[in-house]
Amino acid sequence: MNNQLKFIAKRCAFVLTFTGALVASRTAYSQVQMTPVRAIPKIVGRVVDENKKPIVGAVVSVKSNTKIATATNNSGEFILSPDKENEVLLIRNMGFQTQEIKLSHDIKLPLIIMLTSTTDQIDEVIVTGYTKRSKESYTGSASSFTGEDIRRVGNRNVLQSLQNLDPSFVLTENLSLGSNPNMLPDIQLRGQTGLDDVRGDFSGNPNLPLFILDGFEANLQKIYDLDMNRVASITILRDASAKAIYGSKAANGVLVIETLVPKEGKLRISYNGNLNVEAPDLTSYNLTNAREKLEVERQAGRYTSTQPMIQQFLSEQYNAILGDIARGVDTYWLSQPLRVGLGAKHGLYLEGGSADMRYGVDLNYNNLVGVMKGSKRDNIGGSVNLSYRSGKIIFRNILNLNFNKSVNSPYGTFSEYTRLNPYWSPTDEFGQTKKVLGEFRSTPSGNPTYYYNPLYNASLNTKDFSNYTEITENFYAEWQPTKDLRVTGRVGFTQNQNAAELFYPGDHTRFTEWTGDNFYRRGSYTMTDGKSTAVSSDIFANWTKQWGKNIVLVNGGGNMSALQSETHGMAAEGFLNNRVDFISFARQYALNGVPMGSENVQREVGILGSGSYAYDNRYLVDVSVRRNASSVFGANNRWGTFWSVGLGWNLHHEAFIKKLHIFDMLKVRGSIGTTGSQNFNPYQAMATYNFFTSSTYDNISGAYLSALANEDLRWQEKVDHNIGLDVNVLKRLNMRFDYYVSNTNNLLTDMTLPTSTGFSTYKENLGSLQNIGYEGTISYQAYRNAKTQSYISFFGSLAHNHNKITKISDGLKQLNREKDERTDNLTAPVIRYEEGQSISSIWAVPSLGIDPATGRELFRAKDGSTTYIWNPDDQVVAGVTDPKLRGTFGLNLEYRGWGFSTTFRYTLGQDYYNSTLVNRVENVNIAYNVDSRVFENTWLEPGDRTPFKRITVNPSQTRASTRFVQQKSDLTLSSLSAYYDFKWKNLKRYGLQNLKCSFFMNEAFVLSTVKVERGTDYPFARSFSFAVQTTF
Amino acid sequence: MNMKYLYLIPLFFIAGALTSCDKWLDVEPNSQIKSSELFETEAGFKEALAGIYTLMTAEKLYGKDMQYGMLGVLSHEWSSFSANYNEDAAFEYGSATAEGRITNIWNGLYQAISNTNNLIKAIDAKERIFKGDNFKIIKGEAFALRAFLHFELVRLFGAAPTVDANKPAIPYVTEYSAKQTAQSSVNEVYSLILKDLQVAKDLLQVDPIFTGKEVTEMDDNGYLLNRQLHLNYYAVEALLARLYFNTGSYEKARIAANNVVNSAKFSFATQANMLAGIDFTGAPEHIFGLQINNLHQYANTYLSQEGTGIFSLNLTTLNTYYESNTSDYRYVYLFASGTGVNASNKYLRKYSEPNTQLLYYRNKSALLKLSEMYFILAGSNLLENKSVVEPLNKVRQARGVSAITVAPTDPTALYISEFRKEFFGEGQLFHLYKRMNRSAITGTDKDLVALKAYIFPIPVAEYEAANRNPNR
Repeated sequence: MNNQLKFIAKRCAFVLTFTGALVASRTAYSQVQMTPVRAIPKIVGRVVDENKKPIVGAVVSVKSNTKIATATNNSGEFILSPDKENEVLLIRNMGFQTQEIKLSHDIKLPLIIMLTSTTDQIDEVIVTGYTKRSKESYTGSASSFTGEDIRRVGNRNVLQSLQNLDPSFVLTENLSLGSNPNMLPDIQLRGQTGLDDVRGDFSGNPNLPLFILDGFEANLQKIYDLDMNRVASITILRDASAKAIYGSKAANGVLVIETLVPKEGKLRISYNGNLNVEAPDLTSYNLTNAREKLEVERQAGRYTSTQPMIQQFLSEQYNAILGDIARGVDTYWLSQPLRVGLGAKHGLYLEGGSADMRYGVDLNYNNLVGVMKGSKRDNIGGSVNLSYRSGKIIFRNILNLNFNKSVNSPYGTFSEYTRLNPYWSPTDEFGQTKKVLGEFRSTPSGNPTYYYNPLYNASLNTKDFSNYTEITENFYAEWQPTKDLRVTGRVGFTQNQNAAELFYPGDHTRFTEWTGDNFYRRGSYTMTDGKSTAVSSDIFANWTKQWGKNIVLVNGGGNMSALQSETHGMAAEGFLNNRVDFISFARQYALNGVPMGSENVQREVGILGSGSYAYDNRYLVDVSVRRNASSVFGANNRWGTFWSVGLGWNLHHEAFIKKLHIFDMLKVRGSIGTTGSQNFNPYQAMATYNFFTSSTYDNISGAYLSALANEDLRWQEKVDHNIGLDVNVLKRLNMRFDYYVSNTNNLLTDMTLPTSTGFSTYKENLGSLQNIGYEGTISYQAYRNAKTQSYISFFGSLAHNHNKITKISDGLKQLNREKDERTDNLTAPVIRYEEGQSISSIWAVPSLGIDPATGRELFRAKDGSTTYIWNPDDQVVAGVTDPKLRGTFGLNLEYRGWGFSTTFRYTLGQDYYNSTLVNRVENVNIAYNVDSRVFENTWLEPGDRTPFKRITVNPSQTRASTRFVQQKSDLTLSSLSAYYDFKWKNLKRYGLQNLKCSFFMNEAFVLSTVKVERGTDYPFARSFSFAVQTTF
Repeated sequence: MNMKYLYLIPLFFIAGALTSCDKWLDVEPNSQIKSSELFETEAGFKEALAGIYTLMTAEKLYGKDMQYGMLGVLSHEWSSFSANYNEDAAFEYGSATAEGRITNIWNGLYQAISNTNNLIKAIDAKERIFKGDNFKIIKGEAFALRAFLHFELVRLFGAAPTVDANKPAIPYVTEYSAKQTAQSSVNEVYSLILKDLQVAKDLLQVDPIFTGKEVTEMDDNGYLLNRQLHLNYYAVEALLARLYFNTGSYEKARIAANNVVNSAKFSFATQANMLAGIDFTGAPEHIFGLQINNLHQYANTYLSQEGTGIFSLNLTTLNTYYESNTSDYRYVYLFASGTGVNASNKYLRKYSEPNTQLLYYRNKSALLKLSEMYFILAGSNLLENKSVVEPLNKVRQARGVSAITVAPTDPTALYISEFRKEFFGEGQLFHLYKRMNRSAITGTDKDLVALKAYIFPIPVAEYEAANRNPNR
């Protein structure tokens, strides 16, 4: 059965490849026939702009006979065979001045032709992943960044840098995991398009944009681990006109990333080295010291009793601690598991070759060291990039290999340390690490509560790591039969093999309460491994035609892809010996454990047609249609159609604007279209059976339906409306502004069923969500001097997004009820879904503050009455966590090789539920350390007017209350860099072509209107790095 | 060859690729089996059928609560049970614990129904893949199962037909789909059950238990060997007897019951086997019984003094039930005495591990058994004011009790008393009380009729999501 499956998969996947191969062979044939030996030499050349960047798609023709023509390829290169000698070549490209070159016998080949642009803007190219479009003629909302841009605003990873460049691209701040190097960030592009994964319906983050790396889909991990130095450009596709070509996966936006194409020439070696320093940022912590802490405990009544016997006993415990403090015990626990992380990153790049055959070899090593002792992420990778041209055919191949190892700190989570009392000492009088830090008994006969030392665990052989090996092979073939037509075929293959291990020896403090029969079960070991394989291929044709003032571009083709992944694992227990750390030393498998495993198969096909038309470079139209089918959709809804229409008007080409001599660019554009998102469980739409594994019936192991299938299940559909404005004034002031309204329909939600159907819920496309927002960027070049290559430019950006649930299903209403009735994690507000409200709403009961008479919190009930009782029905929307405005600003400057640039990130007017105040001030468990604010602001006796309740021996549980909703505005110095480029020095004598030394500082500080503990499970870090770039 | 035509080849392949795509997109998971893939083979149908029976063996259904658990508590046959059944015992169906159990029964039975419907939907198209009579037998069983499961639901969630046959009851679901099925009245449900049973009966004419065809281990791995574990031909006949009896068609009930009794396919457990501790549930008398893998384990937990949440009797009550009759095999062999502080307690051994490795006697729990046919005969007589003595004596004598020779002064009381002895721990007594619509029962001072105790409320989730009419 399975073999047959694989066979079908292979057959289908290879059809397109084979098609591509056939096309290739067809051209190979024609090559032989159509290039008879002639005396007139072929003209080989390269078309570049003023910055020596290649111009793609420039038309090169013979002046006397424009039928003999070709267009330049991705590297700006062309080959032309004139039919006569001493012809005149005509080189044209939109936005550039047309140039003529007289050919002669002794002309030096290859020709390097530099075109001068009509405006400064035109060299900007939008890479859609299928084609490259000049920005001037494009109607979509897209931003392009070069590798240089990306590297200037950060050196950690491309995602971090993008957030500093584009206001619509947001990495949501993770206050819990801080700067953990092994935490993949959560990304939103233009807000949330889907509901949070409340019941595990999604196979990943529902808001994750689609990543296209060198033409093929890539996952977040791959982009996170991508070597920044390999990046040539990144394009963010935001609106329907830009992204609809990616159909059912594009609703959350698309990031198109291209890596460097090797340059021809003699062998060049570039080296890039970074030394990174990560320093923990603990400024957000404000904990009590030993003496203060004991005082808090005393005030809370921990050492007070009405019974003299017990009072005596409690006083003894109090005095013992006081004695320790007097001896000088005041441990600063926060620093115990932390360090200054020293990491290094090296990259070596070799490139060269002839115009026909070029190569690029890249080797990189990145050792990312976190601030928690022992936590790190290592990447070692390499790639080989080859391209070969034969006549009208170009082949390109990229082979990439990456080894990753991620290790988590053996010190556990940071929160284990922030709660430890400062009056405990980590070591005993002999300097040995203690296992038990202290104990407490409330009565002489009571059971003691023990407090364990997490540092002790770090001295054991714990293991917590994962690793993966990924191999990617991408092959491209391009054939250009005529000057107007280009056919591209691509095949990509990625295989990822991963493993993870988690081991706690028996002596770990987590097992101390395992006694009796369970004693021998102490120690646990979990091992998992997995493999995923992705194959995709596509074939596309591009056709361009220009006549008179008309330019038409048509693009069509199809693609196919398949993804398969599986994981397996097992858990074992019983490791009593601290010296062994191998799974085979286990006493047994985990109690009642069975092997674990999961698997997933997804396939999809699509066909795409897109076209654009421009009249006189003034009136622009883009249209695209994509038909797309995926195995994750229900059988009745396999195929979806996605489309877009975009219109643009280049006002700066109109005579009445031209006359003003102000605008070098003034474009208005608008688009509308649909895309989908399908990040959901791959087998959700099918009726599937599971088997009873532990019982049989009449010697047969029975099968039962796992869920109610929805054969109509389909993608969430997003309809984007976008209008935008691009402005350039006097080549100095650059502005972009976009306004959008996006409606996500068919939200995938649970629908409550009458249980007489046999099931309580099933997945339905119900509900809709609306996102409205605007975003803008502005940059101004205040000073420019081409001779000294000096400039100063300022930039700024802003973005706003607001979402609203416009329709909701019964399933979600049911979910709200379930959440109100939950019994765990009571102190955090819940995410509730209600029509007309934002999905980022904070739901809380209106609070009237702390009653000075009783020290209890007073609430306002729905009917307006005052009550002490917290009732979930009284909850109101107390705020929305989306900021009113967010963005960046900063400046870039360079003067005679010295450069400086800085980026600030800001958010304004964000509502925020201050969980630090809830959990570390008000609901503190006084057995552990507390925020020093408990001192001033907690209620002690009648008449006290305080913001917080009384601290008691047993921690209270404050349910969601408007008392803790605060307005938050942040300012982050997200990047600061300074460099010196030795281009003004004569480096040749040292054998160097260039040399650049840089200094970076990332996330240097955060100013916030709200005081919260940032990085509770893993602290935030400031990073500094020194970098050297050179080419031999 | 003209080069021009080479262009056609890629086009041909693209066309080919797109047409075969729908099949290619139909992925088949490894970690679970697609319905369509399962029903490619006869084995798949057998697995799906076994799955339905396995679903019924859950603790919340016939593993415990629909046998000696909740239904035992509701009929007040136990003298002692775990405190979390206190609300059930007081018939407070709105309380969290009782409501939870009622919801579990509803959801569990409907889950089994939904699985049955998916099997029925698939089977007709696959008739050719079945060997021998398996198509008819499996399809017949599936229809019988659907009828049986709805019958169980209407017995709990519908009014007794003799009390109010027109009251809205349950939806009779015949489709695996998210579509909601309309609620039917008690009467309508019974006629739908009858319809399915008749379909089943026709199909099961080929059942070897009926035809007498010999089946050995060698035939299809002995698939048709253990017909008592399946809803076989006689189980359908017995269900018809139960249905006619419940709806007051006593003559039809008698015919059906006699068909089972006279088939001589079922016999009472022998004293020797009971004495030896080999046969506690009376394996040869099962017309239909479930094979519950954890039955003995559940019994250890809930029905022995070593367990927790124990159901037990005290000596006095047991003596009252069985009139201290030491010649009654059930009294003698089916109860164990406690030891130490539990010395005055009696524990039901019916579901305990038997003293044999023969699978025929292990892990079995009767859902329909021979003696019920005699009680239907007796009950029909009782309700038509005829003598109950003769059928009841059949059972009494089989259990070692002497025959009644004098006409009883209170035949109803006799009937109930004999019924309790026979079906102790099987959940049937509650159904008997319900059919009789008794407001007062032994063991409680509550008025069951006034409390509407005989009709479970439709679970909230169903009631709200489907806008059901009140069934009580």
